[in-house]
Amino acid sequence: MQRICQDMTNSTDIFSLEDTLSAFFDCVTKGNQTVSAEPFLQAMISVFHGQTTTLVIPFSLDDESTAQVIAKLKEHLTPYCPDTLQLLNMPLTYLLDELICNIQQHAQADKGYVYLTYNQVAKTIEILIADFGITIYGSYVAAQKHLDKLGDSDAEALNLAQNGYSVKNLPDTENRGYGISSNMKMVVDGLHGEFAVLSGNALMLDVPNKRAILALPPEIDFKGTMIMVRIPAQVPDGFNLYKYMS
Amino acid sequence: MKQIINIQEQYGAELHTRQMMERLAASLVPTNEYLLDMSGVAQISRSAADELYNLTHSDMHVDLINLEPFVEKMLSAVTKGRFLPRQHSAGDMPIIHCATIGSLQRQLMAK
Repeated sequence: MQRICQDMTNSTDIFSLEDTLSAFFDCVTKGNQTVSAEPFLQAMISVFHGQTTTLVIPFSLDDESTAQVIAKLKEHLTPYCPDTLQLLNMPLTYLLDELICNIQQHAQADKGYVYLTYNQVAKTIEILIADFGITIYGSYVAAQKHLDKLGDSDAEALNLAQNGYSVKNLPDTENRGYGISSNMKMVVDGLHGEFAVLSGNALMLDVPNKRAILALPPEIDFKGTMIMVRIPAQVPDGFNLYKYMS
Repeated sequence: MKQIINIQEQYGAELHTRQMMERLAASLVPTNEYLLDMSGVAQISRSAADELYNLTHSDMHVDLINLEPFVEKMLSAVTKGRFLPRQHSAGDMPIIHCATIGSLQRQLMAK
């Protein structure tokens, strides 16, 4: 399937996250691999890989690995956009911290995967963070939280997550559950980027002019969670990270 | 006499995880008093800051000094998070049901 995906992508014609996702879904359906998690991730990586320089890091979920993986990702970017990276260092670290922490706290996975690309044509940083865990829906069910709102829908689970509903609700854990909601706002509103989450049978898309959750056809069911982020390597004037921290 | 611990020297300039702060907490002796010198720690995750909040509001005698601006802001954010009810200001997103791959592709390509 990896070959199919590579054949289908072309570095010159993919400029948005929607294009990437469209190529990805084409790839997984034509490759006849719509059930197990690993081919899904391979397909997404292949779609990205068709474009530019790449870096994939599987990581275990202990604290040393987290620090190492974040340092490695930033090191990888340095030659491509050293000036921008200086400006993007804090929001990028904030983003990676929160998303990796989400996997540690909620996914019940034994490892995560981070993939990073600097797209030299579009001049964007593209990040994919994935796990083969219990999905966002599964994490609400495992915690027995918000079941009244959740129903049996991955799409409703994504809706709760983007609206900041935590799987925890205890005084000593009240600062959990910001990961997706705060990062989406920072990426899309603050950095003028794009943000998508694929979890189970649903895809959440927050890109310019489109903010929606797509309940996917039944044959597509990713056993895990993938977060895809695309950030212009140019920090907008007036961007203030602190605005997105509270 | 308070014991000063230089956090950057022991844990680095970026504090990423809860576990890192839990290791710090486990290394402290409950009867001693500590000043955690945060100079040079430029970045802290919300999770690590949350654990640091737990530590400084526990029975341990721990205070923080020399906070860098980002760390100060993050600690302020997690402190507020303890007292303010969670806001769900993003609102609901529309959920669009795509029964087929074709309808999914049309949704992705719609401008």
